[in-house]
Amino acid sequence: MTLILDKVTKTFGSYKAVDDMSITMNNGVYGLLGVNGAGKTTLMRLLSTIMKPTGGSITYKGRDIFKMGAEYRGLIGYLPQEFGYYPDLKVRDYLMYIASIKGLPAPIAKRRISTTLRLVGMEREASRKMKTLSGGMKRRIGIAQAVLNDPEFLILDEPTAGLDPKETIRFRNLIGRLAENRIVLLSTHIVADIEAVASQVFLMNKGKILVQGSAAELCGSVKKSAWICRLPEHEAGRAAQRFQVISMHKEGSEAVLRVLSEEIPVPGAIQANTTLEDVFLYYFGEEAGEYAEL
Amino acid sequence: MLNYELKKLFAKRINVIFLVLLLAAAVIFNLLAAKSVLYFDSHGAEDQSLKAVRMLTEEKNKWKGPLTQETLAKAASEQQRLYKRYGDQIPDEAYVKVLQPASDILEMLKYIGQGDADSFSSQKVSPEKAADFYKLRREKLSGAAREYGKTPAQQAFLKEQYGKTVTPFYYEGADSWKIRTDYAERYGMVIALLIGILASGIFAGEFRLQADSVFFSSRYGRTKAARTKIWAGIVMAAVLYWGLMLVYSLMGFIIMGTGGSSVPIQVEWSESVYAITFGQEYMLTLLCGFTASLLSAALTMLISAGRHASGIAICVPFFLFCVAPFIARALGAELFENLMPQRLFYVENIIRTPVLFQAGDMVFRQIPALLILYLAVSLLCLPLIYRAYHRYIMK
Ligand SMILES: Nc1ncnc2c1ncn2[C@@H]1O[C@H](COP(=O)(O)OP(=O)(O)O)[C@@H](O)[C@H]1O
Ligand SMILES: [Mg+2]
Repeated sequence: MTLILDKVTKTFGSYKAVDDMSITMNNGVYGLLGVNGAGKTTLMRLLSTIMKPTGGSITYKGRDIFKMGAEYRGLIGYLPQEFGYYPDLKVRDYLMYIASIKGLPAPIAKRRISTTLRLVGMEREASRKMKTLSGGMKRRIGIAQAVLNDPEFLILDEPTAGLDPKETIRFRNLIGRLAENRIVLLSTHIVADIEAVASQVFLMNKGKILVQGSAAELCGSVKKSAWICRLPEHEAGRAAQRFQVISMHKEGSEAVLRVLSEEIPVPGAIQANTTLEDVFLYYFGEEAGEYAEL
Repeated sequence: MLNYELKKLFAKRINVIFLVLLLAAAVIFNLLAAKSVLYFDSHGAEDQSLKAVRMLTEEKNKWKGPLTQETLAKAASEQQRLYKRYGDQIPDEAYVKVLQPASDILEMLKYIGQGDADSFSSQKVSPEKAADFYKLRREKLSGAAREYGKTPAQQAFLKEQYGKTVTPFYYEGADSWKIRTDYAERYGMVIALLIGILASGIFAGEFRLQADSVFFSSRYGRTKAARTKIWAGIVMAAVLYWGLMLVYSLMGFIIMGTGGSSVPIQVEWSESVYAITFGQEYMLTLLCGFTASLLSAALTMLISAGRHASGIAICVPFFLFCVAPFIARALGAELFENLMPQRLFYVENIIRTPVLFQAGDMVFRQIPALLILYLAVSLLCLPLIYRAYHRYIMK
């Protein structure tokens, strides 16, 4: 039992952004999946000691992380959702500065920076000024700074936000490589980000964890099945009102719908394997609708 | 860590622009200084070239050496001869030849002639009296000590200080140092204001750039890195101030020369309670300017660390050095006014007026009082900056 949150609460005024949350994390990749406003960023700020919980405790290997202070911070790497950097510094100088405040001695820092830059595919950009980098490149430097100290606990808040599809794929591969011998907690509102890499998924909503488990376990937790239905276009609207629609597209004059239902929704519908995307939609329903189209 | 903190500071283009402007100001102040001297060439025409200071110094150096009784009597008699011959209509050539070179000495002699109906003319001292200059000066000064000293301790203190000047005075043309000091005060104020602006960014930067999360979640963000920021502020202030003043001084040495540094300021300011030379006065001016720069850096760091922004912090040095003096004057609080931080930029002014402070039996002059006060304030700010910054928790 390495990282334990026990009844952690964070309130803003009367609003509970994190609500009586108790979770346990060991080595492995944890996906924190939730719509905007679910409280993911707040949770990660608590875990990075930038914010203090209103109630409850967070312990790492049995010790309170706020009491551990610098020792705990030396063990973590954190990529905030709003990743601020020093625009006028060159990439290498930026990383050297971060390495220094992370307590890496200069010679070790230099070596770590080379390997980390290679890891994120930015070795050729080392002498460029931070402000000249593209959004995706900045994110990659953000990840680089987070892993610079080889953290035992890596906290990544929406690391794929603003990445193009190619960069997103690249990023997912990177997480796979980083996953060994540490806890990686990665938040997202995009199911595909974590589907392949996360060994555990937390579904978070309104400050609470709704369900948690492996992707397979989560799929099993859904009472409904996914169905592919082919309907004439004019009937699609009516079906959408009766069933929870995951996706819909047109094929000629027909509409192809993917819906969740306990029983066969319309004659001729074909049962499909339940995916994490289905689970997400099942739990978040309407709220998640806007993302399902992405 | 420190070098990257400084790199962060000077990687910002605006800060580099400030630096270039400060260097330009060093040039401008030197040019203004060189042109501020009043020098008449052998034809009686005002010379406004950059060489004027050197020429004037050379003229005055006709009197170079110790101002013995004989020398003083000679200067006074040359003056007397001219006035006897021409009255108040002294021709330009005679002025340039006789009065301009001796002007400092003749000015100095006026001190013993003041209020003396007997003398050749109320302001013009006779050769006989001039020969007695040091004796008469001592008498006048002991009167001054009684007048300016508000308590016996202060009177004793003044007497002691007045006794410290070495006579006969050593003399040579010292205009380059006087002018240099004058403009170093103004330049010092400009530097201190800009140092405040630069320093305010050190603690506000992370918040402005939203880099605070990474900073405060790092191992040393709340300890060593925060202390390093304070160091960066001090090092920046010290390097910038002394570096720029070095440039300013060297440029001045080249344009105006360096002659006259060991002339006691009592040649110009008879009642000064500081037994120092013009060269030392310049160093004192620089030291006071540096103290002001430190104060400026410390205060802006404190305020920006507490507020997580630099906006108000930037205004503080400006308020202290430029606005507060007017308020103090309006309030009419003399002690307050005499200890205002902007006084650090008026060493030349302070040096000629015998303002004293007393605590118990201890008597302080204004410059040590200002230096100690503002060095202490700056130092006291440092732990406060750390406290205001390192415990940051996002709300
Ligand atoms: N500093 C704050 N002050 C007040 N409310 C906040 C603050 N930070 C977050 N919130 C609120 O808490 C809720 C959760 O926000 P956040 O943790 O950012 O969610 P997520 O990262 O999942 O989108 C939101 O309703 C947000 O408005
Ligand atoms: Mg968020």
